[in-house]
Order: sequence, then C-alpha cells, then structure tokens
Amino acid sequence: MAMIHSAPRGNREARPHWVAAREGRLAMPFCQPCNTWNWPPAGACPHCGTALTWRDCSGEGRVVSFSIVRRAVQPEWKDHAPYVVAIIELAEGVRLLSNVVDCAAEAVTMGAAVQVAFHETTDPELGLPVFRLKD
Amino acid sequence: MTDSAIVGIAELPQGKMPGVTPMGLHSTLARMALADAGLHARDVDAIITLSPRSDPYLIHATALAEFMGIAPPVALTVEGGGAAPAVMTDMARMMIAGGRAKTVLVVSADMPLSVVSRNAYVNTLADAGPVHPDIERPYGPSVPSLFGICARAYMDQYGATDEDLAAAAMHDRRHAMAHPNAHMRQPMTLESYRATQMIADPLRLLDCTPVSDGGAAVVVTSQERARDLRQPLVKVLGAGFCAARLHLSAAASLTDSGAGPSLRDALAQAGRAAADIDLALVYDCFTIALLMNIEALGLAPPGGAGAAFRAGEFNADGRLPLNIHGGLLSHGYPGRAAGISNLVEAVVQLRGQAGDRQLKRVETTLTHGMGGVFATHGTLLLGKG
Ligand SMILES: [Zn+2]
Repeated sequence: MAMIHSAPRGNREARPHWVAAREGRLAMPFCQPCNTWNWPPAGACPHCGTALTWRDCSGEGRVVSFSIVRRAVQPEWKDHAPYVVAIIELAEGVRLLSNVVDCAAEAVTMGAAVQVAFHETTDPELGLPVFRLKD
Repeated sequence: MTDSAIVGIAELPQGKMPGVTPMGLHSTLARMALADAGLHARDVDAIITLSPRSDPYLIHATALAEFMGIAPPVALTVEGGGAAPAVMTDMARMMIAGGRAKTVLVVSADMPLSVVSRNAYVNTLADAGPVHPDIERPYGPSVPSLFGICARAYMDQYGATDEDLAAAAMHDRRHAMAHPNAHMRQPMTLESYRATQMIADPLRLLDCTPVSDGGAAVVVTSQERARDLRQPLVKVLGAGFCAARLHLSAAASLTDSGAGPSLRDALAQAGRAAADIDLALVYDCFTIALLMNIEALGLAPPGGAGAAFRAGEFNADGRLPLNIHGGLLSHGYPGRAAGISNLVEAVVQLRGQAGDRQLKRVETTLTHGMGGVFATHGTLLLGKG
C-alpha cells in the first residue's frame, strides 16, 4: 500500500535530499571543516559558514522514538492511518523525521534497526526517503 | 528595571462563544480589564495583541484600536507561540521602564471553536503549526504525534506509564471543576481517561487539550502608578526566556523540555529563589508537556512528575499548588491565546480574589508558557505588593 506522496517543496534548501531520494540515495548535508551533519538543512554551516556538501549515507539506522498516527489531519493521509511517524538516527549519527513503512504499526519498537527505502512523489524529480524494519 | 505592575485583568468563561465575533471578544476583554483597573480606554498609550487564527489582520493591534475607537501611539502584534504571555508582559515592562508608554493594554484572544471549527483549526496546526514545512510535513505528522514521539521517549527513559500521563490530566480536570471559567468540567477517572480513543500513540484524546474560544486581557502600568489604582498591587518581579530551536527534527533531547533557563533567568532578575514560589502555572498543551515542563523547571525530579501528581504534591493544599485553574488541558486552549489564563489565575490568587479557590499563602507565582514542541519558553514571576 505504498502511497504516492504529495511532493515536498522542491525549491528550498532540502532539494538535493529529495532529488537524491528519487535516484535511490539518502543524501544529507555535511560540513567538512566542522565534521558535522546539518539537519534541518541550512544554506551554509551555521557554525563556520562553509558551504555544505551533500553526502550519501548508508541508509542504516535505528528508531529513536515514534508515534502511531491514528487520526490523520492532512487530507492525503486520511485513508492511510494508522501510520508511524518516527525520529530515526542514521548510523552516521544524524537524526531525521520519517515514516516506518511496510509493517504493522504495532511492530515498530524503540531502538529497532531500520533501512532506508524510497517512495515516489507527485513530482517525478523528487523522491521521499522512508524506512523499513530490518529483518 | 523600574518595575511594572498588573493592574487590570479580564477573562470570560472559556469554551464555545456562539454569537460573538473575535474582534468583539477582544474589545469586550479590553474594556473589562480597563474597568477592573479603574482606567479608561483613552488612557491606553500602547496596545499589544497576538494575531488570532480566527481573524487575521495586517496589523491586528491597530485594527483592535480602530474597533475600540482609540488611537494609542504604539500598537504591536507579536508572534511568540505559547510563550507569548511572558513576551507581551515583558514588552509592556520595557516600554514602561523606557518611558515609551504609561498604560499598556495586552489582549490575547482567539475563537478557533466557533469561527474556525475544531477540525479546521487542528488542520491549520499541521500546516502552519510546529511542523517543519519542508522536511517534516511530507511524512504526515500531526501535532499530537510530535508530542507522542516525546511521550514514548519519556516513558522509555523513565519507565513511565499511561498512569503518569493520566495523573496530569486528572489533576487539571479536578481543579477545572472548581473554576467558573474552565471549559472542561466533567469528572475524569483513570477508567474514563483510558476509554478515550488513541489519537497518536501513546497519547489519547484526554492527553490533548480541547479547542476553546477564549483568552484574556491584562493592563500593565508602573508600580508607582499602580499604588493609586483600585486593585491590590501585583508586581511583575522578573521574566526569563529561552529558545534552542524551532522544530522537533532539530531537538537535542526528546525528554528535556528545555524550560529550565527561562526560570533561572526570571529568578535572577527577580532576586528570588525557587523555594519562594508558592503557586506554579505551567504550560500543558499535552499531558506529556506538563510532565516534562514541570521537571525541566525543577519542580519535580526527572521522571518524577507523575508520581508527584499522584501524591497530591501539586494540589491546592499540597507542597506546591500547580495549575489549580485546570491548565490548558481543562481550563481551555483558546488557539493562539493559549497560556494567557495562567497569568490571569496568578493575578487573581495574588490579589486574594479567588473566592473558594483562594490559596492560603500566595506571595510569589510562576507562570510559564511554551511555544512549539518544546521550542521556546517564557517564564514570569509575579509577586504580591
Ligand atoms: Zn562548519
């Protein structure tokens, strides 16, 4: 029951993230001088001002915490509840909010190992990274 | 700081207000607060409002002045989330201390229930609320689910259960039942709490605030002038603020609300100690927010707020009376104006005008407000004159 998501805003700082997802890569913004990830993405490193570079991540991570949405509020989600919204920490150490998909919502647990997957959106140039429980 | 006093307050019963318009509500509250202070609308030389979701204007405060037929030189509409009551009161203090204004009218009201509708209001929160429009919105997080993520992390870290969440909800409800202006006044038990539907695990319907029409107005002037007015003196002793980030995706911790520095700075400005506080009104848009904010403010040990509620420590006759007006959870959640009732209850108690609810000893009060998902905090300390 993979859904076709409404496209994220494609003209903002996160565009490379969505474009990479369409190509099957999980790209996150990184500051080389500071050796830190930057998320939510800014145009430049907030600490040193260096332009951020987009690095591909392994796509492996774990569920830091999650909630099961029983009552969706956005119209496109109404028919998809219950679904899982989670904070994922990638193996590289950066955290992002995403969905855990392709399992019963009740199967998701704290600390569960996950692997990235990619969903299409209504914009053929932009994809959406989501996560699946690892076997 | 040459300090200020709150000399007028007004609040109406929170809930559904059929036949009332948002501007009519603002104007009524403003005139009630001025009458409470023994002042006239023409005395107002600065007006501060929030932009209600139910009734946006280019400059809402100026539109209110026009509606009331006054023309104060300063009219500001601020954006401060749930920390706005402290923001607006502190702006009033600074204008008074700096000589910009003598009588500042603060009006914070909204009508999400009657004018926007409950469902439409909840929908606007998902679009223009604390959800990041780029990196979070595509994943369909509801506002309860963002707090649900924090609640599950909190339960995991401390071994807390739904009984801790329910203890906060039941505390607020029990006290709201005794407050004539509270929105939610039917009894709540652990069984009736558990019988309500799950909204965003682990948060149930009764972990969330209602949506209410309501708000309040407050009049601020100098302490010197306040002594000549009609109400018992209520001083603004100190204010403190803190903000680490806006969105949950940027949060360093899912279980520390981050409110602590706002109280630390308010205490430093007031020259008081935490032990001096004898009434606390803490922002609680969800039960988990109440538990985490109480702990971050140092009013209970980490993971211990639920047990403190169950032990009665926060009851009117407990160690530290807290949210004895029912909190946002049961007193009401008037949209953008949420949290202003915390300020009103503190003033009523400091004046000794709470009737059957009056606490025996109230010298110093803490009122806390929070914007976003544990994003910004504003804390005010008020004291008896
Ligand atoms: Zn850097």
